[in-house]
Amino acid sequence: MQGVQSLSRLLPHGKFRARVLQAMIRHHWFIRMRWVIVLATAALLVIEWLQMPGLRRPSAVALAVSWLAIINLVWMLVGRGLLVAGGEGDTIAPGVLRRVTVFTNAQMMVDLLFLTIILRYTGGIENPMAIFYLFHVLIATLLLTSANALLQGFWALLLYSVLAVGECCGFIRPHYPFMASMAESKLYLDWVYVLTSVGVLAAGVFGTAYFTQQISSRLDDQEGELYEANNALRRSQVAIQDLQARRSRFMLTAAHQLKGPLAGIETLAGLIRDRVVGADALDGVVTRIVSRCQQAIVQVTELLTLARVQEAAPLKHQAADTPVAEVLGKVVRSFSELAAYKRIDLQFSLELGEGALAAVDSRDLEDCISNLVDNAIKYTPEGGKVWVRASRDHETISISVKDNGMGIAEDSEDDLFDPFRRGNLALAASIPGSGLGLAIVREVVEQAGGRIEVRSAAGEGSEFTLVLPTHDAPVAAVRGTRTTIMSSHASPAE
Amino acid sequence: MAGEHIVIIDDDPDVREALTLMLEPAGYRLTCCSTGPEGTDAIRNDPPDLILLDIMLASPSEGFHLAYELKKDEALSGIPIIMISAIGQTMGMDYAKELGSEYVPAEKFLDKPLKADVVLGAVSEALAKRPGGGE
Repeated sequence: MQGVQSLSRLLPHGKFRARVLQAMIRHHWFIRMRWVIVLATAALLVIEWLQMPGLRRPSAVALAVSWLAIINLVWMLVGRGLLVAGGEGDTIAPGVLRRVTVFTNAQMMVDLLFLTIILRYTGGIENPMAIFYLFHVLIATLLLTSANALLQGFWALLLYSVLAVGECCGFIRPHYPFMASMAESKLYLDWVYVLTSVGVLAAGVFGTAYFTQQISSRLDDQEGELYEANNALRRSQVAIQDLQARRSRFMLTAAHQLKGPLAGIETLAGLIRDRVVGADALDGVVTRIVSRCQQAIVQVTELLTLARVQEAAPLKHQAADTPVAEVLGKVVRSFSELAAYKRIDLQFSLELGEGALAAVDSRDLEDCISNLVDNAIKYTPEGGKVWVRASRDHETISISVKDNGMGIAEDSEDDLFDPFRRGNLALAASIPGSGLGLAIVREVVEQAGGRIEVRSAAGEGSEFTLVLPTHDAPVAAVRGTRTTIMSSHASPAE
Repeated sequence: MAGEHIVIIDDDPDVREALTLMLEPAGYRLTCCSTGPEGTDAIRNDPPDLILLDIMLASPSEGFHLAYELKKDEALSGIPIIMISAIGQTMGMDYAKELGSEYVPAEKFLDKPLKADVVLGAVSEALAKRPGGGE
């Protein structure tokens, strides 16, 4: 495991860096640069041969350049194989990244070896082209990692030191001067010059690695921040598109729901005007028209209520200290006449203790409970029962509205709280309703940081329980809660 | 023309009532349904000569889905369907252009509010066009 971790340190970090490396391999950047170097070196050798008759380079230089060209062909073939395996997807697989890193390191190490061979036959440490060692360290730091850069740096230093010390001690001979004029300089035999040259290269190698790493790590940080910002932006974009789609759907449904009563009124009124309706049916049609007008008014009122509770104002609930018993009592009293008219037994019980205050806006809570009690009475047949209960448990207050009415059909449970959604059982029974009541309840409870639990069974009744935070509950205790449907099959009347 | 069986599927009781007031005096036999599943059952139990179908039932496209299902069923695909909606024109949806296509699997499209003469005309036209009808 430790081995794997240390190996991962050798791999380039950050999507941007890895993608640049992969793109450079894909576009044969190193190979193209090497062709340029091969051609440039060959051209220089020809120019020297033509223009400087006094300077005759050993054939080993031309041979080394030829070998570099041959090896470049090999790199081309290997690179193509890697590209086939690498694919062109958005993310780079760790295996591909590992192969690309090893491939890049191998090319650099061979390049450094060839640079040293060419230096060997063109003046050794007297040749100022030793500066090219630094290019490799720079590229390794920028494209790979500091560890790779140090690896290349030590390799360059080792090659250069062996060349410098070998020529100085006489292990490597003969010495080929860089220029004809330097044939007598013998600097390569001067220990001070040798040590100074090796020291300067070492400082150059490690200095380049350090400064480049410092700069590139800051760029990496910036890249990370940009990447996160970009991701957040994309998430926001998706959320906005989703919101717009939902709003559009909502508008479509709202338009339909509002136009429905008006179209009904116009259709029925048209029947009277066109004398399609006989005298015996006239009263019934007029009653329907009046009732339809009332429905339209209720619809618009609930739409306005939904718009009010949808206004994002979480502080409105956090700062509230609504006396639950008082609100429930008010709602139950307001429905007692309707319940009596339908011969429904409306029962009310509290287990709240002294001064139970909920962190939910008083008017919004009243709207929620009114909607639930209204639904319970509406969907419970004559002679049925509706229970309104409230209890307290440490940091939450549970308010439940239960009935033994028609219940919710299984196929209606998924989008129960969606605006304008009406259950098939309610539609089949032709019970009028705006379909906005439960949407209002969900909006208020979620904004207040509470949750809704629903238990229902078709034909047996429903129980809606609102679990709301108390006034003194810590904010953390009410976070992350969601509307959930517990079970639609367990009978609430049990 | 009298005696033909028509199934009306609309969640709006007033529309069902209005259609009944328009069509019953003309002698049609009507079955009124308020939900998609109820309508499907009624159609399968006693296949009608014509279906009057609201597009937006429990969900905004339930009427369409029901029509697709009926047109896929060999035994029922020949029954003409007249679709009804309150929002087609408002939303700029020209269903008439797509009538009979796979997008709008219906023979006729009517916008609410409904007028008696328009409904009666559309019903008799659709019944006449069906296989074995008046044409």
